[in-house]
Amino acid sequence: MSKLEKKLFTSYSFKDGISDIFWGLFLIGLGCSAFITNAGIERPFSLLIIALPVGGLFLVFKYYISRPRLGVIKFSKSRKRKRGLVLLIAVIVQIIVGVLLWLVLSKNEAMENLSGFINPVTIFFFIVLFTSAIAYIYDYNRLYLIGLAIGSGIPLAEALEPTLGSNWAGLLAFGIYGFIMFCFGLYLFVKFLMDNPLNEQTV
Amino acid sequence: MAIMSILYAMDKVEFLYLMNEIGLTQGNLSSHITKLETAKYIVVEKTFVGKRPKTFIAATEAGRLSFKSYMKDLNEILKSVI
Repeated sequence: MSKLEKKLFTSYSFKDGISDIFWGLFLIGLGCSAFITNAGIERPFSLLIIALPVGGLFLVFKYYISRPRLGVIKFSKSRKRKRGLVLLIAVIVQIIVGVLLWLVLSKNEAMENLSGFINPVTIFFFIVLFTSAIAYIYDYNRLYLIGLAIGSGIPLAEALEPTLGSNWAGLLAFGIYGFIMFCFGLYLFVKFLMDNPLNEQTV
Repeated sequence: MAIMSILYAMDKVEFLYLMNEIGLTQGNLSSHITKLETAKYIVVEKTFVGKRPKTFIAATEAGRLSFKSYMKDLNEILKSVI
């Protein structure tokens, strides 16, 4: 029964392709963030400019397009526990990243000691570990690939920067993965709309 | 069987979700739901979300126990055959 529950959950949550569209747009936006930074908006605010509208679009699509076609489900207690665990991990990671960002922005002396440990390789492992944990707990298999795309994008962008400049290095490193993800999500979304027309239900 | 499998795995589902997942028509699913409700294996709750009617279906404790017992018997039969 747990396999059935997992299959029903992944089908309900991810078959509409909206999550893939969201992650694709986010990755493309991440690739474009260097352009925004060069326009005068510093990180992490340049990332917020990307994340907030994309996140908003995700919620709107889920609520107004996906849910009326799929119907509403109340998941089992074990699934709710998993969701709670995922949120807890996300909050803890956000706090850690927030503290590190604050130390960087405030040019704190403690960052001098930490800066030796923060490099593209450690960032890669951190991102991949974090997204893999979420993917495992939440049964969202494509998140493993997304984690690899984001994690490998950072050292790739660093490697391409001397040749292409920061703008195009970032766009190439993240944008290609993002575009592939977006196209895949769009394909799933169109298929979902065709397979699940709006239907007024009665008993 | 398909209806009870889904309801066993979930807390509560909307009629629309069951219809899409199992692939039955509204009328066909309604008749199965009525039979299960008569047998007290499920409970049907009709509510409104805004101005739209929503029908939620959940398995009762008796329904869950009965389904679990049925699955156990089925597994034992399969084991004895294999």
